[in-house]
Order: sequence, then C-alpha cells, then structure tokens
Amino acid sequence: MRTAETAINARSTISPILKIEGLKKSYKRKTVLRGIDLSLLPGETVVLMGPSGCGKSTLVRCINRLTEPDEGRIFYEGRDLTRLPVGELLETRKRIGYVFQHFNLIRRLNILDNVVFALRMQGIPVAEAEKVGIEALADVGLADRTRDFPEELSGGEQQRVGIARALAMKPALMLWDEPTAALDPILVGEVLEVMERIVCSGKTTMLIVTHEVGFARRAADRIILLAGGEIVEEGTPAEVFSRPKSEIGEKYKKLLKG
Amino acid sequence: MLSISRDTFLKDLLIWFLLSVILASLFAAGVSEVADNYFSQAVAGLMGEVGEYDLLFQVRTDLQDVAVSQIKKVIKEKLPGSIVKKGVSVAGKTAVFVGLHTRYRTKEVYSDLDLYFQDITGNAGFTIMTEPRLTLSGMPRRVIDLFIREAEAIPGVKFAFKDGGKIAVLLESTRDRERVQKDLRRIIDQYQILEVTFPSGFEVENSVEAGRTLAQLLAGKDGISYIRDVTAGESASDEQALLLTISEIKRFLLSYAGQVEITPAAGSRLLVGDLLVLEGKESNRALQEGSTLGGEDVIVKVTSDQGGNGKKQGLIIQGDASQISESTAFLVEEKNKVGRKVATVEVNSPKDKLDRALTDSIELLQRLHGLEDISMEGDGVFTAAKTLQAALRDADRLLSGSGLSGAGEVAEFSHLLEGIGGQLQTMADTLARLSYFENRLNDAVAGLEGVQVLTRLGLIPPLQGDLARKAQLFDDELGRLTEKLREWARGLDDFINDFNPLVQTLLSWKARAMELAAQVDTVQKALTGKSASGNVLAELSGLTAESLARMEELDLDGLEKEYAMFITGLEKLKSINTAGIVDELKTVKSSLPKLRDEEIGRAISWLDNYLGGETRSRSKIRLFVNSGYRREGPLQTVREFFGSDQVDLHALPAAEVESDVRNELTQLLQEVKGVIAAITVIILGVLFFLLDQTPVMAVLHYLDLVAPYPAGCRKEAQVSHNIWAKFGLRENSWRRLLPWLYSLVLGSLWSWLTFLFSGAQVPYVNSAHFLFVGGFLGLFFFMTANRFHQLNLDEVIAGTALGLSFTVIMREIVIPAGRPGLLQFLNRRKMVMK
Repeated sequence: MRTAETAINARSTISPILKIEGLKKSYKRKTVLRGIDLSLLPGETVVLMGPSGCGKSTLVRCINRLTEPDEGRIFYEGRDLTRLPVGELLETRKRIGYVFQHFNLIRRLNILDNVVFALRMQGIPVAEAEKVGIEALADVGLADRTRDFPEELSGGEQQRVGIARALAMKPALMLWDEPTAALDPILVGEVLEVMERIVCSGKTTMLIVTHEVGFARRAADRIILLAGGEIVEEGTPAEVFSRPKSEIGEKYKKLLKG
Repeated sequence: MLSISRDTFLKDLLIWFLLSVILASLFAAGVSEVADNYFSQAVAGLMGEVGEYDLLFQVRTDLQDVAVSQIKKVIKEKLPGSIVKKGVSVAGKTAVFVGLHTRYRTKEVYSDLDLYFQDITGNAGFTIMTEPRLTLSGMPRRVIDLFIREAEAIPGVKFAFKDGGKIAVLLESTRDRERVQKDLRRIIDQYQILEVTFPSGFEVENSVEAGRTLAQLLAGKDGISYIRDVTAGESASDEQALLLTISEIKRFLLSYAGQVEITPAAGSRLLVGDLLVLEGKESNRALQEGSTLGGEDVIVKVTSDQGGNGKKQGLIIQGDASQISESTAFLVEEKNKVGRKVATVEVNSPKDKLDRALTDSIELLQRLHGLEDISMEGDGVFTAAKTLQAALRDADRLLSGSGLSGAGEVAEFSHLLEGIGGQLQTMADTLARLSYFENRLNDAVAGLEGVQVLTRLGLIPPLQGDLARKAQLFDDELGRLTEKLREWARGLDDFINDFNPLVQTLLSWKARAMELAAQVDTVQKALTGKSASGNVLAELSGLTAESLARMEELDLDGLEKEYAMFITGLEKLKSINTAGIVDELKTVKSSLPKLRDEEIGRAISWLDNYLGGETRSRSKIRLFVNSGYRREGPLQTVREFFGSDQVDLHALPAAEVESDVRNELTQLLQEVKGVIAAITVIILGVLFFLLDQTPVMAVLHYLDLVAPYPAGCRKEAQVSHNIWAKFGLRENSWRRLLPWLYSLVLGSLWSWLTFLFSGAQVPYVNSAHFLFVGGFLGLFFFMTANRFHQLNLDEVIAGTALGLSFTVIMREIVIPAGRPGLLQFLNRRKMVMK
C-alpha cells in the first residue's frame, strides 16, 4: 500500500490510465450521474463508495460502455471510449477486467472454460489458454475445481471464478461492481481476501465499488464518495474516514468507530 | 454485424432461414401428400377406380344381402355382364357398386335404370357415377330438354340425360373434359334467367300467371328472341300446370258462385270481413234483431270494397241464395246474434242462369227436328200477306170508284174487312210465335256458348280424362251448332222485322176502316145527304190506298225467295248431330257442380289459401331468355306491368357446370391437401419461431447492449454511414425500429415462401394473406420472446464485458442456452466452446 503522499506525487507526473470528464447519465427522467470527473493512475486502487442508488454501479458500467453514457468523455489509455469504433471498443473491453455483483458465469461451461472463454474467443490455443486459466484459478484458490460447473460452487467460489476470469485476461484496469454484495457474510471474507491479495500485487489498476468500509480502508489508495450522482468527497482513506468533509463521510467515520 | 459476406451470425440466420423454409415446405408438402394419398385410397375404396363403376346404391345394412341378390338378379335379367361390388357400411347404410357392361352405357339404358331398380329391398336410391362426366345444374326444369339437345351436339359428348334436377353429360374421353366444359359454358352463356324481384310488402296475386303474361309481353322485344316462363316452383311444369288449373278453377267458381252486391244503408259502415245475414226465402222466417242465427240462414262475407259507388262485394259462406234476388242484410254480431239492418243486397247467380241456359238449349235442340213447323209458319205469313194484298186491292177498287153507293157494296166492303181482319190476326199471331221462338233461340245460343266455355276449361267431369278427344269433337260440334243457330236467329229476326211494321200498319188500317165502314153503313141507312158519307169514304179510300201502297212496297216475292233460302239453310242444321249434342248437354247439366253457394264460398277460400301460399312463397318471377338483350327495355316493361318502379330485374346464370363426383372429390381432396399443408406450415412456423427465433428476438430487446453504437453515434447523433440516414432516421430511431422490422419481415417472408413452396392452399385466402399471417406471427414472437425464452442476461452482459462480438455472444452464449432446434443444430458447428 502506498501512502497518500506518493500517490499525489505520482498523479502529478504520470498520465492517468482512466480519465472521465463530465460524465452524465439519466434513466428516463431520473438523473443518475450529474457530471462526474474522475481519473485513475496506473496501478492505483480507487474505492468508490456511497449510499445505494447514488450511481456507483452506473458509473462503472459506463466506463466500458455496458451502459451508454448520455454525455461526457471517457479516456482509457488516452483514447476516448465514447468515440471508439465497435471493433476497437471490443478490443479495449478485453483489457478491462470486470467483476460482477452476481458473478455472471456462463452456466453451461465448467469453471475452467468460463475462465478461458474470452481467451479462446481471441483464438488462443486451448492448451495455452487453459494454462493461463489454471494459473488464474490458482490465484483465487480454485485450481482443483477446474471441471466443476458453476452451480456446483458456493457463491464465494463462483465470485472467485469471476475474478479469475477477469484476471486471466491480464487487464490493465479492473472494474469491481460490488463483488461481495450478493454473498452471505461468511463467504464475503474469502472474496475480500482474494481481492486484497490482488490489490497488494499492484499489477493492475482497480476501481472498486463496495460497501466494505474495512476493506476500503485497508486496500484503497484513494476513496471517492458519491452521493446524488456527484462526487462529494475524495481522498486517502485516512482523510476520508478521519476528517470527513461530507455528510456521507461522517456516516462512514461513525461506522468505522462503531 | 450487418455484413453477410463474413462469417457472422447474420449469415447464420440467413442459412437458417433458407433451410427452415425448405425443410418446412418439404415437410408440409410431405404431410399433405401423405394425407392426400390416404384420402385418395379411401375414395378409391369407396368409389372404385376411375370408370370402374356406374351406379352407387345405398342400401340398408341389415338388408344388404337381400338387396345385393336382387340387384344381381336385375343385372342377370336386364344388364348381363355388369358387375356388382359391396362397399363400406356407414351409419346403417351399405354402399353397393354396379359397373355396367360397356354395351349398356347408352342413353336408353340410363333412362330406364329407374325402372330396372325400382323394387330393390332396402334401397334408398342410387346415384349415377359413370365417368368421365360433367353435370349441368341449376337450370330451370322446363329447359332441361333444351340443354340436353344442345349438350349432345357438342363433339366429345357421348350423350346427355336428365338425372334428377340436373343433366348428366357423359363424355367419350377424359381428354375431352376441358373442351366440353368450355363448350357447355358457352351454351350456358347464351341464355340467362331473368328474375323479377319485388320490394318488401309488394304482393303478386298469382306469380305463375304474371310470369306467363310477362313472357308474352317481352317476347320479340329488345333483343329477346327466346323466352320461356319458368316461374312456378323450380319451374316444374306439372306444378305450374297445377297452379294454373287451380287459378282457373278459382276464376270459374267465382263466376259461378252467387255474387252479392252490397249497398250499405245510410250511416252504416261495412268492412271487409264483416258477416251479414240475409232475410230471404230459404229460411222461411223473418229475421229479428237480437235473435240467434240458424243453420239455414244465408250468411254473406264482405270480401271487397271494389263495388263502386260505395258498394261492396260479398261471398255467400252459408246457405244458398238461389231463391234470393234482393234482400235486406243484417250485421252478424258476437255469439251469432242478428244485429241491426246495415245494407241491402242484390244476389246474382250465374249458376242458375247457366242452368236455365242449358235447359233452354236442350229444349230448343230437341225441337230442331220439327223445323218444318217453323217453315210452315213462315209460309202462313206469306199466304196471309198475299191474301191481304188482294183484299186491299179489292177494297181500294170499291172505294176509289163511285164509292159505296149501295147496300150491296157496303156489305161487300164489310165482308172484305172481316176477311182482312182474320188474315191480319193470323199473320200477327204467326209473327208473335216466330218472335218467341227467336227469343228462345237467342237464349239457347247464349247457353251453348256458356257450355262451350265450360268444355274448353275441361271442368265438366264426363269430358275429362281419356274423353279429351270426345270433348274436342263435342266442342267442335257445339261451335258449329251455335254458329248456325246464331245465323238462323238473325234471319228470323230480319224476317220478323220486315213484316212487323206492315202488320202494325194494316192493323191500324183495319181498325180505322172498320170504324169508317160502320159510319158509312149508318149514314146510308139514316140520311140521304151525300156530303157526310162522301167525307168518310174519302178518308177510308185514302187510308186504304196508303196501306195498299205500303203493302206494294213490300217485295213479297223477293222476301219469299230469301225465306226459301233461309229454310234451305236450316236444313243444314240437320247435318249436325244435334241428338248427340242434346245427350251431351243433358250429361253436362246433370254433372254441373251441385255445390251450394256456401260450398262454393268455402272452396274459393280454400283455393285462396293454397294459391296465396304457393305464390307468396315464390313471389319471384323467373323468365328464361337468350343473352344479349337490351336490359332497359324488359325492365321498363316489367315495371309498367306491375305499376311500380321498385320492381327490379336481375339477370342470373342459366345453369352451372359441375364436374363428376370423383372430380369434385378430387378437387375437395386437393383443397384438403392444401389446407393440411397450410396447417402444417403454421404449426412448423410456430415451432421454428418458438425454438429458434425466440432467443434471437429476446436478445434484440437488448440490442444496445450486444451491439454498441458505432463510433460517433451516440444519442442525438445523426447517422451518416448507413441506409437509414437516407430516410432521415437517427441511429437510435432505426435501432428501436430494427427488431420490429426484423420480426415482421422474417415472419412474413418465411410464411409466404413456405406456403408457396409447400403447395399450401386455404379457400378464400391467397398467398398475399400469408404475408400478413407471417408478419403477425413474427411480431407476436418478438413481443413475447422473453416469455418463451428465459434469456440469461447476466451471461450476455458478461460476454459483452469480456469484449465478445454480437456473433460470438449469439453463437456461444444465447443460442446454446436456447431450446434444441434447427438454429441450435446449425450453430453447433460454429461453436468454439462445445
């Protein structure tokens, strides 16, 4: 984990891997995002927190255009994703890992096939893809369950398969959309443990949407608080949780003390 | 995504489309073919092969053995060489087929088949099923013979015959069917049925008679060169004849019945239907208001307002009015009570008049043998006339000389006057007898004319039936006799008229002469003066000279010659069999309906009911005419005839051409085949769309997810590079439209092509309708796709997030998760993750 100071220094000298400018999104008459400006540096871990319905998941989904934003621009590695041709967009998506709240595994495939699915679709030979897949599964502690099918796994295990699937693509950016929200508390721990391990490896830039305050304090380089479709506070975990400037920050501070 | 040249899912869909259309078409065609074969074999089992059988009997199943043995017996006796086969039994009836030997397939045999097989036990009738054949139907019965003649003139027609209400046209060969059918249609087109229709509420009293009259009116006008009245029920000539006869009977009875003319009393109002009781001789009692009617009372029903001058007409419905000529009428009130006096009636009984006429005729004819008496009467007149002429000359001579100068001359003159008086009386009496005879003769002539009318109507029982020839002879004889008698009566009339004025002149001369002669005689005896007697004599002489001059004017010789010729003419009457006619007239008189007025009234009511029912139920008048007439002319004539512009005239086809039973069944089976194919196509369409298209259509609901906007094409951005831009559609507009269009077009094309290729047919539905059906099917499945296919959206989102293309997502995620079908089958070879 890096300190806030090193992070700030880095921000001033390194180009961000992801930069969002004025992102807006509405569903019918309800405005979900009201002009989000955000940037992530390579290797940085940013935790996005906020009350339910504040637009966290929408923001993450807009980044790889699973949801089409209404306005604003999203730069990934310097290229505007909202202006990319379809082919290039698909290629870009392959380098952005995505971990879903509900795992989103393909039920007809065993877990190894789930993990290597995207690799195989890229034309990577079976053996090579499976080698990568097994390594990814090993990273999440499921190397011995390669032939099992999703329904044979627990929720935590399925989520770890989802993580392995994202890792197998060797993404430069990983988007986590509340990965533990659908898990019972007993299973949350095993997923958080895997997540922390990946964060600590520092290989990938991460944008994590979570309500796990403890995890955020431990793993995040930076915490962004979102409320009403706007960023209301941003800073290191210490800044946000010790000296909160926003109402929502105060609530999280109290939550930590409690 | 839209490229079909590359290996995309769109190409997969295209291949699926072609294959599914081909497979569905083949399968539907196969199913319908199998069904067709099955039914065709069933028909062959039921009807035999083409041309194998000619007659189909439907006999009671429980009596089938007896029936078959009887049929075989008939065949052995009448149609040896023909075959019999028992068919299937359905609903208590067994089909028995008879195949006639070829030598019996003749018109004569077919015409006699009814006679051959009329006594088959348990036989419910037979159907002629000889093939190849065409059938003409729908033509009026009265023109069946016409069509038979014309049909038989067509080359390729073996013969034609009446088969029930239709015409069976047997062909030489099946190959002739089309050509003969065309020729038959051409013949049918040469004629039309003109149907006269009436507005609601318009009633024709006797449509049969109206039809007949109209046919006469229209004949030869406005291009109508051929016309036949075919009005009566389905144009059955027997029925038409019956209706006409009944109409004539009604007319006769009406003219024969006691006709009552009713003059309402002042202040009385009578309505049609009111009943009146007559005060008359029959009941032998005086009617009193409030009394109850008796069975012997004469009751009249008011039947019409058409009497003129406020008078009404009535019909006697109880009693007989033969003894009544004029009477007071009382209203019949409730409970058969005699009401107030309401009218006077005058009864006219043609029945009695006819009876009297017959009596006179018979008497006269019986006296025709004594024609010599008449001749002698005439001779007596001439003798008297000549004697009178001589006497008048003598009288003139006596008076024109020195006058009646002496007693001898006066006595001579008086004697002369007496002689003249006797001759004059004889002559007057003879002329009176001749006049009476003439009157009787005229009555007899009128009676004979009435009798002749009756015989022409054929209403007199002894002259009906096989006596028709006799009736004709009687009619001829009666005609000749009536004509001779009429001439004779005219001659007699002339004769009497020639003499009557003379006789009157002479009688007045005689009276004055007698008077003057008496004066002369008195003067001669009492007075000596000459002047007075001279004056009297001068007047007497003048009168005598005048009478003689009148007498001389009468050309007695000429008259005598004419009279002789007249008498000679009378002799010719003897050549007529008057005795025979008298016998017939006696028969007629004795056989005249002995109906009382009330019975006639009831009979007329009954006939009215029958005629009313018959003609009202068939208030349309139908005329069979040639085509090519000018429509306006007949229409105008018809409207004028009925006096209404609302009456209309419709032209209908004269007949229709039908194929034989097998052909109809074959056509029916073709339709069944087409319908089965259509049903199969629809079922397959539902299956194909349910199994293969619902996953695709379910994904189309999330098109934005699986197919991101192209670069620069975001919300509100104009499309610049696809065809939709040409129509001014924005990216998001055509994206919203695309799934609907896909479903609509796919469904329409799939159904249309499959219907076409499978040979599907549905009556009254053409292939264009299938476009709508298919379009509806496609839209229905698009709208309900998520109900039929539970799309796992999480998997699709995962694939999208992993950067997979639409093609990969469909091939690897969506289609494999769907139901097994053709698309999934085809997809397997494209899948990487099998």
